[in-house]
Amino acid sequence: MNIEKLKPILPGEFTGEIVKVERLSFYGEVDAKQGKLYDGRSIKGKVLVIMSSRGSTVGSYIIYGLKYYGNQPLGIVMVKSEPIVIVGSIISGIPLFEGLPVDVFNKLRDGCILSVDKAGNLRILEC
Amino acid sequence: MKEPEFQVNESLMLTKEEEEILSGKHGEAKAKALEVIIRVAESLDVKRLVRIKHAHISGVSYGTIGEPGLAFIKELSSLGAKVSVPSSLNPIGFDESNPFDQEVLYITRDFYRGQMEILENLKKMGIDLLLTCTPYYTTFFRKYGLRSGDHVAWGESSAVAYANSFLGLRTNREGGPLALMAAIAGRTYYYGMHIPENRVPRVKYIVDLNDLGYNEVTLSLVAEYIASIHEDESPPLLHLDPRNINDTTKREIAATLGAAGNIAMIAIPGITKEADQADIQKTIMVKDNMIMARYKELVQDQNTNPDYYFIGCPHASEEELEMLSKIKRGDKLIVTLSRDVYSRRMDLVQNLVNKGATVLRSTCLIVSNLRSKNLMIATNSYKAYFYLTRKGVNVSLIDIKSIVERLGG
Repeated sequence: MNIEKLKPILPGEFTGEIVKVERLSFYGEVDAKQGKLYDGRSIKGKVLVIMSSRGSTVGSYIIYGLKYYGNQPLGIVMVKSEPIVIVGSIISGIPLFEGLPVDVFNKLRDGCILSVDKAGNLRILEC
Repeated sequence: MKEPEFQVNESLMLTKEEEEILSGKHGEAKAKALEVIIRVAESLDVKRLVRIKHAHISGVSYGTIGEPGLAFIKELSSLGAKVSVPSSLNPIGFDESNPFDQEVLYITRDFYRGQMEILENLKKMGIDLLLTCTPYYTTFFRKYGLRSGDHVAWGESSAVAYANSFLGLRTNREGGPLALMAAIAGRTYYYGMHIPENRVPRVKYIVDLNDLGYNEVTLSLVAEYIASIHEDESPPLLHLDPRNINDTTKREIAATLGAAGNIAMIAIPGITKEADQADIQKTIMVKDNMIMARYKELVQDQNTNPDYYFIGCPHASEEELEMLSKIKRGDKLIVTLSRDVYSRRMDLVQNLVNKGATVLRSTCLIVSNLRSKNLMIATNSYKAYFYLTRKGVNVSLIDIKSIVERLGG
């Protein structure tokens, strides 16, 4: 089994089903109260895998909102992170990792199961 | 807020004062705020922090941040948080002079209570309640005495791009909470747009819109196109004749870059200082045909008889109020602006109101609740298009000059 090494930003351990998004604006594209993406997919208790994020800086509060309403994902794995997501993750305690290789991102699809440990070792368990 | 298992990475150099703040000598809130800044700094492999002269804090509309945002701000306030530098605030969810009796907007008592509670807590921290996304248009702003080259920490992505590109200020796109933390800590992480080398453009976009012409709408579509293809970390250089760009255009380009992408700066020769230092590695032509599909979709094919025309996302300037004063019929016009510009130009505001226009201060259509989402809105703001469309409103784009013509001016 291949292990990918990610960079921990807010370390944490989780194993779960993924929900994959290319580019995400947390503000406008995530409903914190429902724990859903703009297209209706639920992210509660899932591993949110994102290529990159964009959009309004209100995004950090939306991430805090996911936690506040108990709809937070298990963790967030990104190809590249940026401060809006980093702050959101830190104030809400949602683990965040970056450095997912683009070719691995491309292979992943919704429903694949992956695990990440505190050191940032990512294992794809089922896909 | 999560208690971090706190340990400062050795590669991050802190000053003696910063170590004192962290130890709690300047209060628990300031220590907490600095902790958040440091965590971000470490995650980005930043070597040091930078003192800031001003903070502009976004994410303060109850409509956007809701109960979670209020809970976060109350938590900070209860720790005795105070800002360390002059700080200003973004728009809120309604016009505070007249919150309940509005034709277009709607708020509940709960919304009002939540919003006022947010403002009270932020005011207690010492923040100026400018309640605008264009702080740079206010008289208050001049009093801050900011100069080109100053480091600041701003939220509000449109203002960030405007500040870096057109005011010479240095700021990253801070999250609302981070700008608040930076205001309390008086510092942010020395990274990205704070570092002079990172402000030097490497990719040049030569804009040639022979057919469509140059206005805030066509150039916003150019900005959307650039945001979708620009991969370099340096700011894009936008090569066009400075005569084709006025202040409205600058502001709308900045807002588009913030909404459609995460670009914090653009350099325009003759306007942006850093454009002169450009080290161009790649040149891309942007011509009419590259934005034509979007132009047809957003500008041409839309309903020509909207329910409302909307100006003021980001908040309108005096110059725009003057342009709009030429209209004859205002019953379909909505203008949003800061309370500072509103009270300074009561003459122009009254003129518009007399013609039937709705003029709202301290809020805008994307951070408030519309009475009906079943609306056709025509606006010169790509940012308004971007967010209102996501709320289910039907939006088309039209430049301000054409709006004035359509309304009889």
